[in-house]
Amino acid sequence: MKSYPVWQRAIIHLFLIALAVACIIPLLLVLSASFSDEAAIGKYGYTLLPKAFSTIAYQYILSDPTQIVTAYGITIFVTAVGTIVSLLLSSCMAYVLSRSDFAYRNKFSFFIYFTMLFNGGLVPSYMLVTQVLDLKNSVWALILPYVIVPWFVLLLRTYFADIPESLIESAKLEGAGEFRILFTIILPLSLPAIATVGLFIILMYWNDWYLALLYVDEGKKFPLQYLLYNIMQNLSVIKANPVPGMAVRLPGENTRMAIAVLATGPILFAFVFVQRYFIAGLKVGAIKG
Amino acid sequence: MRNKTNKWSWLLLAGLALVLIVSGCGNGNNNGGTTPPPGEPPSNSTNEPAPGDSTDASKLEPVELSWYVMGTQQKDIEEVEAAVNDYLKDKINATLKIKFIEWSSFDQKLNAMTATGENFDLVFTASFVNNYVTNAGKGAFMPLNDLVEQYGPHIKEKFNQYLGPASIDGTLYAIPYNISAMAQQRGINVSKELADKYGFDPNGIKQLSDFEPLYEQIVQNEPGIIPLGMDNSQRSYQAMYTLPFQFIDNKLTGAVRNGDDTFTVVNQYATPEFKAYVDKMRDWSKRGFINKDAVSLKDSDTPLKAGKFAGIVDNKAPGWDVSFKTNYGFDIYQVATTEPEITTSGIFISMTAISKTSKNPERAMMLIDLVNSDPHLLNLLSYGIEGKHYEVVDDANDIKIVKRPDGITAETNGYDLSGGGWVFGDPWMLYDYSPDRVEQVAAQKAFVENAKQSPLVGFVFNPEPVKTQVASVTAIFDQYMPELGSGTSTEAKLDEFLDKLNKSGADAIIKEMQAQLDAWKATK
Repeated sequence: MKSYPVWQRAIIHLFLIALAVACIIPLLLVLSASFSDEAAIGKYGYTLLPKAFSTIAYQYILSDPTQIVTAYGITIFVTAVGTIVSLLLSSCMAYVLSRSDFAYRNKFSFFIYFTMLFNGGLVPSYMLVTQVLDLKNSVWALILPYVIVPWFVLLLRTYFADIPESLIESAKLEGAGEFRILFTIILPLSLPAIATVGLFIILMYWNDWYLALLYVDEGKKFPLQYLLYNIMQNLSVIKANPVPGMAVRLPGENTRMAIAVLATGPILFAFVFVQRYFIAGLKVGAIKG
Repeated sequence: MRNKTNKWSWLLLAGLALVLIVSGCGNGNNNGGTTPPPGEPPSNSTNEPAPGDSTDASKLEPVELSWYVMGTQQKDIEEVEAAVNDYLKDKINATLKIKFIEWSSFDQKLNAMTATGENFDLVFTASFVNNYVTNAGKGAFMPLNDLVEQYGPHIKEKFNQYLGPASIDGTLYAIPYNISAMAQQRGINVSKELADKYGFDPNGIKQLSDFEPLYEQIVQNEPGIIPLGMDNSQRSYQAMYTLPFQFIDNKLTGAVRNGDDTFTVVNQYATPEFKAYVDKMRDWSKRGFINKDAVSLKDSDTPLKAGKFAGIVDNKAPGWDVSFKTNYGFDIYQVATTEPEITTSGIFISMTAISKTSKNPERAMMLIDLVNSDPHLLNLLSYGIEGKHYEVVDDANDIKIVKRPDGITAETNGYDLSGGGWVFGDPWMLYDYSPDRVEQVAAQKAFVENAKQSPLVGFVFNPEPVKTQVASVTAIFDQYMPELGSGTSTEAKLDEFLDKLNKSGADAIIKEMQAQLDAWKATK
């Protein structure tokens, strides 16, 4: 294979390095601000290395870590359970839609994909979750609304459809039931798609704060991102609407940064380690035996 | 397999990357989360008992009430609720569920709840959050006139003169309980130290230009300190409210000149007074009195704490200089630029409403009456349980001075609103951490007593008929005002601003305001 000349490679590398640095610097600033003294942030602004190193923000938060720990618990539970349930149901649905011998295939597909374009909006879904299903303040209110995402079902369906019909037919001849076919034949052959969709679903559940905002008002059930969202946004909202003479509690800049670090740090680490399994998993499926 | 498609896929990839980067740089606004459309949930789901589920009450039936206010979740909330319920059992035989919703989510959450007709009882409402006028217009609140008559004797006793102004077209939709914050006086704060150093007399101010000698001195002799700090929030244009007009809305075109008995609505931004104000701000910015980065500065908290700003535009209120010192660390003179005044938005500054969907409005009204007349209940809600969450230091007066128990800080306290109990009821009944509180309350009472009622108090503008124009005018206002107010605009910008306002229907708004104002005036 032809090798590019040095100067071309240098330019590309420099560009990529600059991009990587641009991504990392904000994280470093947050980290540094979280370890700073409040007054120093006011004086010097955000710096890469804290001008006045202090762990006071962390002491404040960790002096009573119950809220963060509970929030972590909720988020991990919601993500784990949500991903498994969602993948299960989505693949079941996608499998059915991928089978060309399913008579009502087109009608069901239309019904499902129609919701991608038009949906009732906030009010009907809110009524469904709180009044019909009675899930207000339940951890399931954080899981169920996102459990089937038509876009992912579409992705999986397309992938499943690529699997030769002959495989399924031969399995049927040997007396396999539909579930057996799904779990022992289709899924193992679709690992790349499952991994991709799984990753998207994990991120979707991990990052979500909107469902908590709508359906949860008990502090014990707040997920991590909602906690973070509140702390970050409270400050701006309160500032914009000062009520004369009335007291409001405001955490300092360093505290907000510390909470951001605690909320996103672990997942960052986890991702770094888990990364190679994803890549390995993707490669496995790429070469179909 | 290298063929032509490869080049196109690179181009597409580059385009996608660019779009992602640009969207990331854009305004990181609240609703940035992914919201995939909700799908069909599977049949089985855990059932939780519905809250506040009770039959219509005769006086002796126990009912459950829910109350939504702004605040942070408290660890010991259940304990405090138990104590509250214990107390309420004998009084009104009701149990209360206190629902704290964060400031940042309050509006969204309440909107969703009222839009879907969710069942709840009491809620905080004001001009700046969970907007009173809008919600009353939507039919989210129960009319309270009869309920107050029957079940609110203490409310009538305390707040009677404000119930009328708080009504919209004669119907009262929420109880305005916070008298202490109703009167507003515009002002500019200046650092006490610098003011004294340069012989500035805080009482000798008649107009904005009287600040200039002090600012001149600060600019010349104190490098690195800005006399008047501004940021891109409403701080940048708050000085505008010193103009001699009664603003019908904080942003929209339309104001009545002070002293104009004919109540003629004019476009205040097109007046020579406004131009003079903008020119003066430009002059101030050029001379270094205002920070040049005001438009891009998100909040002045940090520079204030760091001592970079010698003062900000801020309303003058009794006791506010003490809070200022606690927050920012230095003493100030609050210099008044207007007389204290009670306007409609002052009346609306904190109110409690009863939701239209409440199943027990009578009981809810009893609770509001009780909270605003019984200090024990109010302080139970605001400070928690005595001995556990707070200790009394001085109980010589009704307003007890309290402190947190030894070894407990605001962060470790199981129930700590840090003085945020004013969301529940009359702040003049609240205990306080500061021993100056009794004097502060007396000063506040005197302040409100002396304040003049604006001739337009009680008039609320209904923007519905001109809501498209209102939306564009508001957007234009938000776009231009920070620049105009902080003096970083050019002369041409003001003309541009006026031009755009006219094109967006400023006149239509003014006409509508005039019509409504005339109709309202006729009923007086």
